[in-house]
Amino acid sequence: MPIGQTSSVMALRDPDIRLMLRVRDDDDAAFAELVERFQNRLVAVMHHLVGSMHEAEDLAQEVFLRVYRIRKKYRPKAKFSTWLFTIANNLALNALRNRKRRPVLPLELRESSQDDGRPADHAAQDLGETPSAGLRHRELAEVIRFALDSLNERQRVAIVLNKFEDMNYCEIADVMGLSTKAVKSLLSRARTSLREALRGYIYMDGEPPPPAAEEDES
Amino acid sequence: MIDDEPEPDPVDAELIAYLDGELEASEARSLEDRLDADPKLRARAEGLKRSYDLLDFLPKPEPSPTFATRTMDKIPASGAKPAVSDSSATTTTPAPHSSLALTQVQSRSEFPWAVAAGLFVAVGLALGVGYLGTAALRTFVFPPAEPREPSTDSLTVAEVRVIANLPLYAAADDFEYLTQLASPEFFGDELDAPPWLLPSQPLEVEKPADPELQTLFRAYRELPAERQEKIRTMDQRIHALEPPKRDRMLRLLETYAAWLHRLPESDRKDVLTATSSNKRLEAVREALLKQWIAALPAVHRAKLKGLPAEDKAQLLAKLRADDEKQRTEWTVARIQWESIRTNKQPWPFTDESMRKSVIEYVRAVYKPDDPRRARLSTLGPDGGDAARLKDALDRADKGEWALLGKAVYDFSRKYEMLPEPAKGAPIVDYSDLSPWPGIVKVMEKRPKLNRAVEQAVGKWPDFALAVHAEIGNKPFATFNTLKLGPCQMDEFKDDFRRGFGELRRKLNEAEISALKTLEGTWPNYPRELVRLAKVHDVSLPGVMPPGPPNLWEKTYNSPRQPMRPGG
Repeated sequence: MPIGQTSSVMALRDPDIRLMLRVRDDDDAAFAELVERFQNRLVAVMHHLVGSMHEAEDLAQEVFLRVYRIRKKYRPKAKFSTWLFTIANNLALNALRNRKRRPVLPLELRESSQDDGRPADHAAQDLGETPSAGLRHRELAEVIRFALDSLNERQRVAIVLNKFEDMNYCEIADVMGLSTKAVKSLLSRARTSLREALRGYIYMDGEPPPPAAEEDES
Repeated sequence: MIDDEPEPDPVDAELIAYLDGELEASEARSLEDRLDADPKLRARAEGLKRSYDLLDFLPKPEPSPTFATRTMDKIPASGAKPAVSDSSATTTTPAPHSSLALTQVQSRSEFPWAVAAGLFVAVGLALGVGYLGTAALRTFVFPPAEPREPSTDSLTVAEVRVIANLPLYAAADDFEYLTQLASPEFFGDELDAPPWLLPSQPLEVEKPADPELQTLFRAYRELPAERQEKIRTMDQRIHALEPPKRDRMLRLLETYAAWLHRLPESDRKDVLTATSSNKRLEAVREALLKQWIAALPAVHRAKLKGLPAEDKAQLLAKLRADDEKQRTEWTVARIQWESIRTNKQPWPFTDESMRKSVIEYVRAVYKPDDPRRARLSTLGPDGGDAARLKDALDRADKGEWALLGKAVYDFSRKYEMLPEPAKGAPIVDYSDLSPWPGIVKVMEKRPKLNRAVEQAVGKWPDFALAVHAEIGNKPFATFNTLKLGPCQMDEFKDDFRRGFGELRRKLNEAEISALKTLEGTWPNYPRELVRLAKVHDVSLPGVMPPGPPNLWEKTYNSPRQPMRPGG
């Protein structure tokens, strides 16, 4: 849709856009509402991306502040959340890349009680528990966290948007500034990596694996 | 760019697109046909789907309660409004944050505490006759209105709260300062006074009428930006606390403000003009000590006067210890007097079954008759808590129950108790740790650590808690899953579970779901149960004294006797 005539039409359809237009017009109450409305989603997404609550909140806050700073430039053209997550994507990717450049221990970025950032199965055995019997949600979450962390940054963003923001390939492409095809292959690689990393855990709910599962890979 | 990454496996790519609903209808149908025919392909799709589903196990954290306000507070600092200096009415109405930002530029006072001291005079009135009661005082405390009035209309709820509370916040440095003040050394004892001494109204300050808010708002803007920021943070941290703790903090603020207001001018000045938070605490301590000495009997006061500093300190310490002991005795005497007056035993010893259950509780929790497992301290000139209990039990035997009630109450606050396991013996000795050879190994390597645990041997839950505390930050990756005690409902004894049944009916959804996340971790889960039980006035059998916790509090807590007003 051409931009000129769309603003009011779109705004009617998307209450978030309506809200953002009020923010654009210096309505601070609207901005407060916007923060209120999106804080849970943004913090959750950031947490999935960076793994630390503290950093996730800092990043989410930075997203909101950036929205505020550039509010005058806001032109409604897609779903508001796409615009918001485009900003979030840029900030998160920068943060993840900076982190890579900085010589920090992964530990610093984690809040889990673990010391080495690895799944804890052998340590569990040291303490007399077997991973298959005593593996709890938290440990499983650590394993999954580790698998997610082993993806590259862009794969991680694509996965998190797809999985937790329920975005389709086209929306992810918009947010990440890629083609739909590129998103498709990004997600494919990410999800095959996840499958490899989590192979040992996917039949832990007691259901037997299908017969051909052990030779499913060529 | 993503060119540097390898191409994905085309079969996986197709399966994933299918699972994501991203295939064209015709492509999807053709793939479904192949899936039907090919179990291997099905397994492959299944693996992809299931591994993706696992991501649902990741925790979904929520932002902290202060996230939104912290974010809003950042707006001025972000420089969103570049030219705030032109805040005249010609531009759009300045946002509240921007108008606060304004004061950053014009922060003129070099002595924030001088402003606080001014504000402070208002506090007494705030407590007595409402905010800034008289016009005369208003002009004394605050400068006359400037021609350009900041508007309070656009303040957010959080900002109104900060500003309405300003007279209380003005005399406190920050949250840490308040935490210090809340310790028994300062005002802690008074805050934990029995419920009937506490104000029954909720402590939240109501939004003052507009002109008053306006005045406070102006005063707030007068403060340097840095001080404003500190006050805002303090406000956020107070209101991020759970309601009982938050109310305690607000009570502290009122107590402290009222105390300051009654202080002689010179002492108040010492407190308010101290140059750092530590020096201010020191000044508060001094003033409290002065009051305490002033309240001593004349004989002691005379004695103190003639002494050199060192002896004086020693005598003071002794007097304070005596004071503490006297308070306990005073409480017991009061309860006993009450029981003589009404010809009834003090609660909960009013009937035979309660007497029995208290004694059973005492024996089960402190094990006074088992030399190996007895928990109470024997240290101290009088034989410590162990002797105190023995004495109380003897007196109870003779029909005097108040002493036992007071001892049970005091011990319940001093010695943490957690539920014992339903099956098997609790962990109270090194040999009980054999299922965790890793821990034993670590402890063997660290004799110093052993000493800390050593003293707790034989005692539940002291030993397990000591081990937990010592090993807690050691390299045990699965430490969180290491259970040294029962931490799931089916691991508790039946009577404890019955007690929990009663508690559960009183819990709200947030508490229930918070509790769920702790289930399976020791000692956090049972600890949280005990905490919630106290909050909801339920006694958990085997862990808390029998009978409603509030009644124990009401009957046996000894409030500090009112301090002598300073002026």
